[in-house]
Amino acid sequence: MDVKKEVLKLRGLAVPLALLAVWWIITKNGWLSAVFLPPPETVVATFVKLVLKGKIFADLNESITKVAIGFLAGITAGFVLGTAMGLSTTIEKLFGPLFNAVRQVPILGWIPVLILIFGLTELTKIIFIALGAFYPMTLNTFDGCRQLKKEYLEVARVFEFNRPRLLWRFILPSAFPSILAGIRVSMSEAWMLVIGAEIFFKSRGGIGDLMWEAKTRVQMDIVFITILIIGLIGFILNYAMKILENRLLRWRSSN
Amino acid sequence: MTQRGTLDIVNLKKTFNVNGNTTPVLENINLKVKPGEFVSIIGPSGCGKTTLLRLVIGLENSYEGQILLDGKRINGPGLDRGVVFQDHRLLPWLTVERNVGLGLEGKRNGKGVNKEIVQAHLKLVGLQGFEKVYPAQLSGGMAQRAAIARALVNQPELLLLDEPLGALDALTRMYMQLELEKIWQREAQVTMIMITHDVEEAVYLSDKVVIMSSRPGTIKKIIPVELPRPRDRASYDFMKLKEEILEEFHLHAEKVFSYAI
Repeated sequence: MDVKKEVLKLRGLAVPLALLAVWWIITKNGWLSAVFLPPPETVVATFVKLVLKGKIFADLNESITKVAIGFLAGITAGFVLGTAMGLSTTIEKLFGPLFNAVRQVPILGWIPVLILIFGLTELTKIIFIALGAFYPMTLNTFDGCRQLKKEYLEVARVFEFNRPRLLWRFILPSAFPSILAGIRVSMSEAWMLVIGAEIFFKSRGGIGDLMWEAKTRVQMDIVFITILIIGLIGFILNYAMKILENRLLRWRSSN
Repeated sequence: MTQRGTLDIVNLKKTFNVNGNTTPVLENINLKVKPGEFVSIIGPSGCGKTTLLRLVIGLENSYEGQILLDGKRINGPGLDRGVVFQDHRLLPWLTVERNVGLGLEGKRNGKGVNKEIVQAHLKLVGLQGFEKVYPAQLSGGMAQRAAIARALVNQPELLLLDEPLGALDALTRMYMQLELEKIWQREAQVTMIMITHDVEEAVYLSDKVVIMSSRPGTIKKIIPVELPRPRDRASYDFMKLKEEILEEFHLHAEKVFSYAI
């Protein structure tokens, strides 16, 4: 019974393993040139080489640092604006329309502006990442702050809660699930954008740079490895946030 | 000098504005509740009984006439009145202990004192051992006990109960009626006013049953219940009183003549 459950948990691995098998069969039979599709064993060998050389860790470190700074800046700004708009209709009326208009511009659309103003600097990349984290965080925080039911507001009135205590005991906790979801989405967004930032704002170092350089030299195996690493880290970040959310929101479940 | 826990409603009138039309909701309401009394308000849906309670809570403002608590006009909510809503309205993100202590947070009692007060009230409603549990893990009856404890924690003069047992199943409700009576007896100085749909519940618990009729909401009759406690639901006097109240709603059983030959 338990064994069956454990096995079922691994269902998610079936499709990737099948794809791996297909990949292996294609390369084994030489149906595609190894330039376009290097065999899995070559990719593994190159990965081992990269790890032994150690530069890949420096690249990862570079990217993760940028993501961390941009992400933190973005969610902080998003939290502040989202809460302010959520709590005050005046602020919502003032900033809401502008925010919603600016939000329609794709993040990629800001690249020329950022380059012209800040140049090809680290700051440009961090702003780019922060912008990506900023939107979902603002929206989720704003929605969250508006979620408090009228019934609970009456409880606060019955107990004569003042504004700060209303915020601390009622509004923020009820917004918390939404805020956490915002953090998770912003994190994914930030991680995706760091690759873009390293490609568009010519970077030295970073996992995106490693990928782009490999493209220039037609090293498909390294391109593959970077794709796998980017995907894996994104997956891990998302999964870790999910676990954290479940931990922090234990009060929602009834068991 | 009025005694603590006296409620005086004098010539109360309340209207609502719906699409520019003024509709009277409550009219000519006169009610006197003595300290420590248990009063039930019973009436058909839409008779304004909930509005009446919300006015006393202070969640509805602007009314004509007077609502006086200890001689002072009620104007907005206050800690001198505890409230139990039909849906328990415990904050889902706080443990039972924190929920019950909600009303004490603003007071500078010191942590130890507040904890003791919370403990005493958890004991009063029989929820010791559930301090760290979240509301989602409680049954309906337990959640309502916690809500009662939360409402009593500030030692209010008036406990206002808006169909507190309405959402519970029949057996739990009867059990909770016993509990509520015990709580009322132990908290002797607290005046309790309860809205209910349930005639038997009203007769079982109250010193006085206020019967309302609708459109606009007026007090039709006030029936004193002078049966000794604990009350026996099956006794003749109990049944007779129940019948008398049901008659007000034209819900009593038709009396059929029967012949014994």
